[in-house]
Amino acid sequence: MKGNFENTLRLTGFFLKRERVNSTVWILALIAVIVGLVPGLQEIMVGEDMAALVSMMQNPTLVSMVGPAIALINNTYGALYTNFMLVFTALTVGIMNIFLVVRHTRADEELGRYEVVRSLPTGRLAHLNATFVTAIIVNAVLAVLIGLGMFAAGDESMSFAGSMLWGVSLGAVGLVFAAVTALFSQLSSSARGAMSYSFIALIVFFFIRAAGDMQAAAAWDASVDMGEVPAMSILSLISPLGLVMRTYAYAGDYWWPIFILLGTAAVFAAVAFRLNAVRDIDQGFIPAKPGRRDAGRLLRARHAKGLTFKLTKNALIGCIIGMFALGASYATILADVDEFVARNEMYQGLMLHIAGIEIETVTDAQGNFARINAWVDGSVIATTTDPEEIVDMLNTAVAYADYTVQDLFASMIMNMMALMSLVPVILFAMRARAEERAIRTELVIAASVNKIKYLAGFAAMAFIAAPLLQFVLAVGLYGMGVGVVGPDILSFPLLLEAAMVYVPALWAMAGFTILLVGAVPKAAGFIWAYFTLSFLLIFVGRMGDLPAWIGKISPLGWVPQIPIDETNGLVMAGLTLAAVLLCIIGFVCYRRRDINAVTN
Amino acid sequence: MRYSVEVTNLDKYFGKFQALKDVNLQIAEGEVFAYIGPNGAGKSTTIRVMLGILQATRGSAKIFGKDAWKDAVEIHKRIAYVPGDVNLWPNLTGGEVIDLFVNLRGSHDKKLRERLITDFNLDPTKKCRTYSKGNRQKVALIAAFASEVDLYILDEPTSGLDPLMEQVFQACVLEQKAKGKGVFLSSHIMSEVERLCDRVGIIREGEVVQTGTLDELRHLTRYAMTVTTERAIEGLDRFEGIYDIKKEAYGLHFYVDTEKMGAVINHLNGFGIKKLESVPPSLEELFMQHYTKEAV
Ligand SMILES: Nc1ncnc2c1ncn2[C@@H]1O[C@H](COP(=O)(O)OP(=O)(O)O)[C@@H](O)[C@H]1O
Ligand SMILES: [Mg+2]
Repeated sequence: MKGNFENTLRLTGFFLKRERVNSTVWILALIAVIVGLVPGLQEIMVGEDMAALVSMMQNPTLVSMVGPAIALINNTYGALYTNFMLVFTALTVGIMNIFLVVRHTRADEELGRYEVVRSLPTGRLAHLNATFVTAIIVNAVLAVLIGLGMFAAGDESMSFAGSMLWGVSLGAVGLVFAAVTALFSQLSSSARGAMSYSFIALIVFFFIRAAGDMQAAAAWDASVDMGEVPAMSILSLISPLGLVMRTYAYAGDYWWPIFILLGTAAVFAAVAFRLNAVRDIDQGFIPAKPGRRDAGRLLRARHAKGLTFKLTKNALIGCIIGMFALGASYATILADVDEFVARNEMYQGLMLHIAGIEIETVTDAQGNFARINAWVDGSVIATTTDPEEIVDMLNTAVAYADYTVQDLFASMIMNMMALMSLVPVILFAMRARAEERAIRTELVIAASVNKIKYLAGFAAMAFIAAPLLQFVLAVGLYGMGVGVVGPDILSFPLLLEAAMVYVPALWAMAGFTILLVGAVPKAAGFIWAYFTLSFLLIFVGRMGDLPAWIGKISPLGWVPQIPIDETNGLVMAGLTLAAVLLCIIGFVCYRRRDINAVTN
Repeated sequence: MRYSVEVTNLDKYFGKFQALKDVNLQIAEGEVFAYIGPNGAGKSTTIRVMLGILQATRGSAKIFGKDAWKDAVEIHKRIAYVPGDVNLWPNLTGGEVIDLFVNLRGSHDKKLRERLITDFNLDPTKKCRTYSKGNRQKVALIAAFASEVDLYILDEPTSGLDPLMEQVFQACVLEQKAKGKGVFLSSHIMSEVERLCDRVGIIREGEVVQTGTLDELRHLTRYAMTVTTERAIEGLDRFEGIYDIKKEAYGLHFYVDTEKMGAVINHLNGFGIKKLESVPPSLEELFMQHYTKEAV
């Protein structure tokens, strides 16, 4: 058949026009973060011992998250940056490409736009082809801009070639996921399915890489110092997210992984083209399972709660599994906490601070180092003359306060994890707005459902989700933690308390979301800015010396740090009350305002 | 005669389900053809095969004498398609979408485009996400009628339009008809069909059960008759093709097959006709018969 690709270029121009906002925002945001963090991280690391930072990269948990400790190869800031950022950036670029490709393939087809394009004088494969050309252009622009940006922002260890390799690696990984998504868009018969399968592929590739990198982690300890680059595990190399690290950007600059990535993308793309050519429009290869014929018991209830629950049920189950896994995966760090703390002064300081312990370095009359004292509540509770023994001393001091270092560490990472719980909690509350924008709300409301009850259904989901998620988080952390460090070290009641004290703060955020949805629906997305602010306050608040009140801008800032702080009933009650009040105001505003997807 | 559309012995399966059974259609150039049938009968499926978007399982579809599947790109330069459920790209304006469609078909009549936008009363500067169903349909219709093509394939194109816009649409179709362009119109709006179409094809459960001009179709159905005579009518029930005889104060009311009409009137004459009314079936009734019964 000739003319299969006819008018690809015209369609590409049109697709790019459609992308003018979406992809531009993605690219600019990526540049802002990736390039912006180059000087940002360097600032923070000023004065830190580079070798110590690099050796931190050998921690197995960190390896499982960010990849092998390639910074060992040359001990420079550039290599460290690659080590820390490349895998996660590649993952993000993968997500960008999944959205991009589904938008132009299955989503277009599902909504009948593809049919209209096919009825025009365009080739049978032109639509898919234009999607690929669009993806190539978007990824190429990203690659070049990131490359130039990194070179401009970097120090002398970040060469032009290395910077370009960084950018191109991202572009190449992006194209692999563009092609994978295009393939799933042929296989699945719905946009939702295509999106889910592509995300599953992304996650599977991430874990294959993690497994491979952990496997090879031991090799990355000793041999690297001798100037020899250790092998990466084959598992890491079959995952695009692992292969990308093999470029060793700023630490050797190898280009061959790029060609493998591009080759892989080409193969997936070819299969996608083939499938697109042989299948009928609207059809896939993975059969969609037929839905229920009748409304189940849930949907038949005379109010919308059943519907709300049904809409969010699967998401909730997914989040519960996810939070359990998150807790469990953080627990794997617990075994290494000693080492971690010994190596890292920042953590020492933080943990001592959390434990309420002050450290005093005592010098003798000649000004020479004599010993280190640990103070709690005005008395010395531990002392050592050997700076190498700081961890032991820490343990002694901490034991005095009835905690273990593991407890402290777990509670320290608790606020990061509470932020993770916060995402689904906000999403459940925001679902009310999402339904409205999809013009489904009015159908439900018109079916004689009370508006307040309708919104309350989503609020209820958010309120139920918060304690559930925090609970499974504690269970995951404890369950896996016991496996890693044994039963005597961790205390479940303590961990549970440390997790559950966040619940009122999560409720307050849910309440704020409901308020926004009810009162200023157009600006409801502001909740994410508030979320980001909370995130930054927790992060930055730890690093610098911000005045205490700034942290209180976010509900999370009010939460006591168990076990150092006591659970404060007043604060808990206050946050809960605030949550309820915010919801009520939200409900009232919601009842008064119009339901309108288009204009607000 | 030259045909713009020739569908021959067309079967289409979706998996095991047969959506089209031996469909045959022939539409002359410059003809306005109505394709009607209940929901799920197979109208859209036929149209998608004609557009080369679906591949025929058996049989063939030819447009302008070319194969609908193999020569799709060539064919599409000479046709414009409007689906019933138009979805557009939410972040583009109506004007942008119109231009895309028109340019892809290779015509550039700016004046025509502007005139249609005025006629259809569309604001082309709005983003598609803000359009109602009717407005999205207007975009597709304007894009179709602003293109210089030889055949319009319209699949229930007016289901979201108000009566005023319905008028504008009909004027557009009649204008194209006057220019000798063909129209393939699938529709549920009987007044539209009656006013615009030369010929009608009726499809039920994947089978084309009837094609012909409206008169020909009427011929296959019954007239409603009311008659008043000087003497009481006898022997009418002996006739074949007479149904539902009812005695009313003024005389008799009954239905009669069109081809039996002459014989019946001859018989009635023997009783001294004072008043005779015969009402042809409305298009609605005509279709209802075809929709609900086996082919007459
Ligand atoms: N992609 C498809 N897969 C399976 N069945 C389909 C598909 N498209 C249409 N059908 C079925 O084919 C029949 C005809 O559909 P369609 O042509 O859309 O009817 P109409 O346009 O006359 O309402 C329906 O029973 C419909 O369910
Ligand atoms: Mg249809």
